[in-house]
Amino acid sequence: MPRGRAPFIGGLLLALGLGLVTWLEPWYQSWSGSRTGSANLLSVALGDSRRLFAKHFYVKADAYFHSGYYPSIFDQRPDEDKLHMAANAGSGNHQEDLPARGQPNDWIDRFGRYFHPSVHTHLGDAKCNDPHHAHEHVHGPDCKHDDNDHDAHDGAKAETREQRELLPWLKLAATLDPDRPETYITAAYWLRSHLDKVAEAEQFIREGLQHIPGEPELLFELGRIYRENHKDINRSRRIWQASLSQFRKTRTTEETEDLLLYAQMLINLAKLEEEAGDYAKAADYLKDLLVVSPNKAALQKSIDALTAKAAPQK
Amino acid sequence: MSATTGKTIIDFRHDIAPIGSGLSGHASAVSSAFNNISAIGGVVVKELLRRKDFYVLFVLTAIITVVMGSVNFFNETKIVRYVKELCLLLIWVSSLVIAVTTAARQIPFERENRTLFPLLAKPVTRAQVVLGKFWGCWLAVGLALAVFYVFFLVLGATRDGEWPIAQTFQALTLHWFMLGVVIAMTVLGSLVFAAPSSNNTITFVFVLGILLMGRHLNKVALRLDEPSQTLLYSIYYVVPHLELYDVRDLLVHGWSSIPWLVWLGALAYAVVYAGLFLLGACVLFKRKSVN
Repeated sequence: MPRGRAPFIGGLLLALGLGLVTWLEPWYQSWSGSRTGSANLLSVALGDSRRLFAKHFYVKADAYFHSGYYPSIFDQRPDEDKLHMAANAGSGNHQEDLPARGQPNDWIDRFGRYFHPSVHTHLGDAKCNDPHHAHEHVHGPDCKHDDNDHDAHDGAKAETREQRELLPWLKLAATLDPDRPETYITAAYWLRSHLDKVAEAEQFIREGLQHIPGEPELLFELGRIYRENHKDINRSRRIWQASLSQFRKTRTTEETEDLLLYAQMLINLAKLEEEAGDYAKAADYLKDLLVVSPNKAALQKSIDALTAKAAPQK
Repeated sequence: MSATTGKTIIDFRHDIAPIGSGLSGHASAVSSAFNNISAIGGVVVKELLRRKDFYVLFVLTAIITVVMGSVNFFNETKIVRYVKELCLLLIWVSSLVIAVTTAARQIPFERENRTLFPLLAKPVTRAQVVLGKFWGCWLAVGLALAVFYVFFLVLGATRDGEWPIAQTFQALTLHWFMLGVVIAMTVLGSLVFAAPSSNNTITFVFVLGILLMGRHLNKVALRLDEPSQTLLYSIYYVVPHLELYDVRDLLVHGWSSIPWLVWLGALAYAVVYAGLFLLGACVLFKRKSVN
């Protein structure tokens, strides 16, 4: 190429580039796929893939709950919405414990079990990789371990506060996917019930409510904090009523998880009213539950008992 | 030994010349071989100490771990396992990088710099060169691992006040022996593949493949039809199960130490595989033209 043309071509390309920028930049700003609108660095960097990472870290927390004993993708794994770590956390889901590990397939498999956690335990349990300490193991006369080995393990359970090890993964999961209520509920449950961190639990639930305003599960958990930890009955009643109202507006009881949440709300409200002496209102909540409950006979008995108690009040 | 930029030159008068002098017979041969191997290995260790790889990786590991450890989660100051997990992951990545890249360049660089000819002109056999290179890399990686694991131990103790000496020792030795297999494999690869870069890539893919999939190959095989099942199960039995040596989960989650006999069995398993790879490397190097 002759030398004289190089500056000319360079200038032409520069002008073309500048012209394209003036056309592309406004289009990019208004494009629905543009991430420039988000102030969150993670959201900009990862896009929607952050939800996948959030799920991974939520499952990672469950793996920590089992002290590293966790099935791989080649084994039977629990549904990520039904993790055992979330049991009793009030998220309304069925929670399943991990399936028991089968017999080893070969000598490498048998030998390999010494090198990774292969006994089912939960955080706070004392651990040794001896199959004798598996949950399903029944102590017998042939066992080499003494009974007091197990007693010592149980005794250690209440003191260790090892449940704190779940928190980084739950916090990370919530940061990556702030619209996932289970993360807040699970973290809040462990914070308030095992680590005596009620203020932090409440703060985390409120953080969740900022991201998902009016989420019934989060409101229900907040109500539990006021009921069980702050012992503030009036406030917990108001929050649970708000939670129930939100549930009726946004959800139905077709899904099992939603039905469980709905039942928990009504039962807790009924119990609250019964303790407060308002038996008629308690019976009303149970009547609402009667519509969707599969166990109608037992529930009807409770309603009758409450109605009988309410009669003298009138 | 002295080095100019990127070149390895062996000073025979200083490093190897006295070897074997004054001795005769079988004892002399063994002693001479041992001295040759340790002298060549010493050169490799000095090379690693001079290079920046280890220092950079160690500083990076330390900085990342300390920064991540300083994050506050719900005002809980004693959370430690995530820091331990991250630290061990970085140690594993760093040690693999050091081991593979160091081992892969040894023989090709000697050939490239034409220092292999004077080396073999002296009373040093080709097998001794291979074993010396292996020994040097393994020793150098062992030293690096010791520093990494001391850092890990101190880091954990500052957070939770526990000193799991036995578990950490087991993890360190298992890790070191696993790297012995990897180094032997890489030395063999350096005689098979044309360039260190291709050897590095193939070894990394192979090692990572085993670490990620080795434990599960049998489960996958059982779901296949014949003859794929037998074929995959055979591969499962033949490949060195490097994943056995990954005891990070036991260390992170505070499990009790592995029974010592089992630990010893694992070390023996690694020695067998490293021996096989080294034997292959020795045979191949003996037949290979050095020109």
